[in-house]
Amino acid sequence: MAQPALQTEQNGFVGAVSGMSLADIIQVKGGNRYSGSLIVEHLNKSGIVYFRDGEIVHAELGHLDGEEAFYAVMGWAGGTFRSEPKLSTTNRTINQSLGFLILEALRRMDEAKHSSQQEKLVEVSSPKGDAGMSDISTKLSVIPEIEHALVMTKDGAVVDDTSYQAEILGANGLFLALFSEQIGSQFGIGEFKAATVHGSEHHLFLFDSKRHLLCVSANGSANVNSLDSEIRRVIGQK
Amino acid sequence: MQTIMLGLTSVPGVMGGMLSDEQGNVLAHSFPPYFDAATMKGAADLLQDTTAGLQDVTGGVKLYDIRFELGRLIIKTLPRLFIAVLCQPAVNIQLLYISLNVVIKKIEKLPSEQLVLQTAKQAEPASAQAPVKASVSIPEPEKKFGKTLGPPPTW
Repeated sequence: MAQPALQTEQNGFVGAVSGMSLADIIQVKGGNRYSGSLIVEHLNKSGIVYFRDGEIVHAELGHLDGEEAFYAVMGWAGGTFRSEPKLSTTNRTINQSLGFLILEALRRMDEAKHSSQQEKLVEVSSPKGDAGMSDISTKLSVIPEIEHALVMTKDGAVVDDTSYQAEILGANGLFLALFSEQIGSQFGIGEFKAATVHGSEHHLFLFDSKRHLLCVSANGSANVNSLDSEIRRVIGQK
Repeated sequence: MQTIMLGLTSVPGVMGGMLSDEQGNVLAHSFPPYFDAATMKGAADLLQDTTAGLQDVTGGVKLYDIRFELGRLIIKTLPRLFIAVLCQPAVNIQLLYISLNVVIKKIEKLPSEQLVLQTAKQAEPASAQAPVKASVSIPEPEKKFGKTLGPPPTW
């Protein structure tokens, strides 16, 4: 049974690491023969991976534990993590080596990516626990100021997100797209590319691609230009 | 107001600007002649509808920044007014924002009666109005406060 998490001062440096995958971080822990836990958070979910002398012995995520919990955590596109050396467990639900676990996690991620690329984007997937957010929404969720992001077709059908919030954002995004196209047509300045609405409480971003629209809502206190650049950087990542 | 709008065109990359009200009236503009009155009126009508539509999701629209293949449209919302500025895609947006702030300050300092008179003038039948020209300078006598063209407005 896991010991309760202790919010105590950590020795050494605490900081943020960007550009490193979770697999890299876990490999570093393994190389350092780390014992303790690694708490990984993504959106409103939190998973814990337990190490003992550099090997993973247990993992927990919601109702999942063991290898399935570990693979689910590894499948997240982004998030935050922190080490808790004093948080340990006596459970031993994982017996595979660290190298095997990472390779298996990467294989599962490749399979999932391959199968999602083969599906038609116009189909709306059935809810999967958290209403099945699209990959792009998951990537953008690592930006703190972003409240919600979705992909939709040019006729307003939201892709891979059946939440009520997505429906509202999708409607506003479509409204903005139609207005932009109409006013652009009025002035004769070509195809619509992108729009930003600076709001008092929330900002709205809309990006056009060949067959889809990306609609993002963000906190009104955020700097619009910086956020626009950050969004473009994230969606430009492969 | 025409002179104020002409000031925006001094920003490199700006093709023209337009001041409209919430009734869809174009109060002043600094567009080249090939942007006719119907084009600007159509844009002004679109503006008044859209801002109300996005009120809930944004908590109040302050500015639109819309990018197109051949240009960029910046629309600043004011109480009961809109300023739309048409630019080239590579316009220096920060410089434009500074110039826009200057224009807004000047407009805010205008007597409210002058805006009402301009709105009434726009509401007159088109045949009673002179053609709109981007480079026209307002004759001195017409700049006097209280001078109206045509029937006096009623309120």
